[in-house]
Amino acid sequence: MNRTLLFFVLLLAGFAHANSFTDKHLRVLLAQSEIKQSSGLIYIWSPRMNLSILGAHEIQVVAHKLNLEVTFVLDPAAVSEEVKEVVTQYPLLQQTPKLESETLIGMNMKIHFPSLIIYQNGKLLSISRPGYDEPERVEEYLTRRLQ
Amino acid sequence: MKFLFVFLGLLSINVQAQESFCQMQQGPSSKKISIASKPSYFFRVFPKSDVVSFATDSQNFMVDLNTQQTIKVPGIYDPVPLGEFVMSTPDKKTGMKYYSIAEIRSGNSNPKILYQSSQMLGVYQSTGLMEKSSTYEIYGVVTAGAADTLFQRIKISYKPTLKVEPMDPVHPICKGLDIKMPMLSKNALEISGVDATVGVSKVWRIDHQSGQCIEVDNLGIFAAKADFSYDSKKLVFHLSANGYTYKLKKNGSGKIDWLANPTSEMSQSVFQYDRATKVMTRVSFNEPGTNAFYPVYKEDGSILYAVIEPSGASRFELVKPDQIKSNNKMSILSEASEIKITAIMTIGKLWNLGCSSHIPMKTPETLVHTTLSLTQESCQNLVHAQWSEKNLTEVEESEIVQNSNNRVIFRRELVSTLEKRDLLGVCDQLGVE
Repeated sequence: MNRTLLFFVLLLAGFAHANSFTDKHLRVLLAQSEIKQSSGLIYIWSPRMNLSILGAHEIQVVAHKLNLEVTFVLDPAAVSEEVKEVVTQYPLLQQTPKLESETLIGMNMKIHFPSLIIYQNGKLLSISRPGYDEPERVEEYLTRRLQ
Repeated sequence: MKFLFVFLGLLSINVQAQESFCQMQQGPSSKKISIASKPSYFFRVFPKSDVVSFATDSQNFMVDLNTQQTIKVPGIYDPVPLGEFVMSTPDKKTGMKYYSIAEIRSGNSNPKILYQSSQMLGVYQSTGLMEKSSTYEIYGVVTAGAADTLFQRIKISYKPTLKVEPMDPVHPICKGLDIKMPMLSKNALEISGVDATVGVSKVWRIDHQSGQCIEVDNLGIFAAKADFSYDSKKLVFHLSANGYTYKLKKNGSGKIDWLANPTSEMSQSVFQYDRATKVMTRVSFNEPGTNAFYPVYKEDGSILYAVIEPSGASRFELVKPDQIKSNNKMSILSEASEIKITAIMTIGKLWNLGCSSHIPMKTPETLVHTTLSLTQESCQNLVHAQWSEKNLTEVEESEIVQNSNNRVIFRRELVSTLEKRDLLGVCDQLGVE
């Protein structure tokens, strides 16, 4: 299978079952990153954590500046009514799947919101980063980690 | 008609029997306080009074746990009391603001700012009492700034009038360390947080002369905000874990590992960590799917935390310190043999089959947690009621997902070697305090 075809297969697989973000979705995301030789981050937010909502917008700006992909994923314990209230005001977070990836959960990504983890060229980079960061601090962190 | 009565009678007996072995241990909470509003994952309890300050998605509040009277507090992030009389709220753009709690309590939704520390820009603040006299108190205040962890000493004078003033300029501490979710100890001499370079929770001693921080405690786990007890001897935090896990060493022998490997089935539970003994004790006990978050200490050692059910219904729970030890069942797992661990998991699966077959319980951790959440009596009733070849075969053949790091092992081939007394032996230990 050539790379382009594989990319589209993975892309389609990645958009299936958008209600949850499982290990399968993680594998697809990383495979896409490997094919594209790209970098990005996965950002977990929660309607119960204001700073994770604020941080989502800030991380989007920082990621754009650093040419990084961003995948928003939702607190697995989030209640749908509360999510609806938030996404009405913040369309950026619409249709974010719930965290169900055992790999990411095993990397402590549901302990605190927000949490983020970086990937590069198909590989997760080290450990997850819990808690809100000011844009300057997260930019410095991302730049340093992705060197 | 006679058959109907017989049927209903049998049904009733069955329901009673099921209830008798489905009963799980109740948490040690001395007080459960339902709240109408939806607290975010941030709140602080006052040191002495039963009042909690918390944030929601759009407003800070404080609630009296006895009367449930809820009052608006300025700001939208992290309202933290400094003692009983002054409240601080951060603002990422304008700095930390300090208010009179009495004025907030009076119903003034726009209280006077007693002091605004415009250089204290950040969130996740915490405070510690550094010095006190009959007329004043000096607090250390910490916040996670844009580049560093920021610190300032704040003096609160009570006579002749309430006054808040800085003792020094805002300055960074713990330079060179990447500390996430910093929490100051109650005497402001130590700080806890996640060392982001290694993803582990630690405690550092703060040298207030140099601003440098020296590592003094490595918890070896990744905990959320770790709150210090007032004597600094304990920490309390939540983990994405049920707390009882079994780590298989490479040589095959087993040992208990508190580094629970989180799985999607696990709820968040509250744990207390004794810094001297390094022992962690589980504090919160809730049904699967219900999470307990962000515990904080009161001055008397009580622990308050938020509980959120799958429906979103929220409450606070307050646990007295003397109730915590009696619920520690860690000893059951201490040096447990593989056959004993298999017996523990088998009991958990039997409970699943008999009491909650609609909920798939697929991870070994969940099975262990379930067993340890049973009372001694319900465990014994469960074993007597559910011990059968058919059920054991079902346990043996059930779908169990080994977690990604293989820290927890379900040895299904050992199920057939179990004897009823192995399970009852586990039950006996559930009553040991």
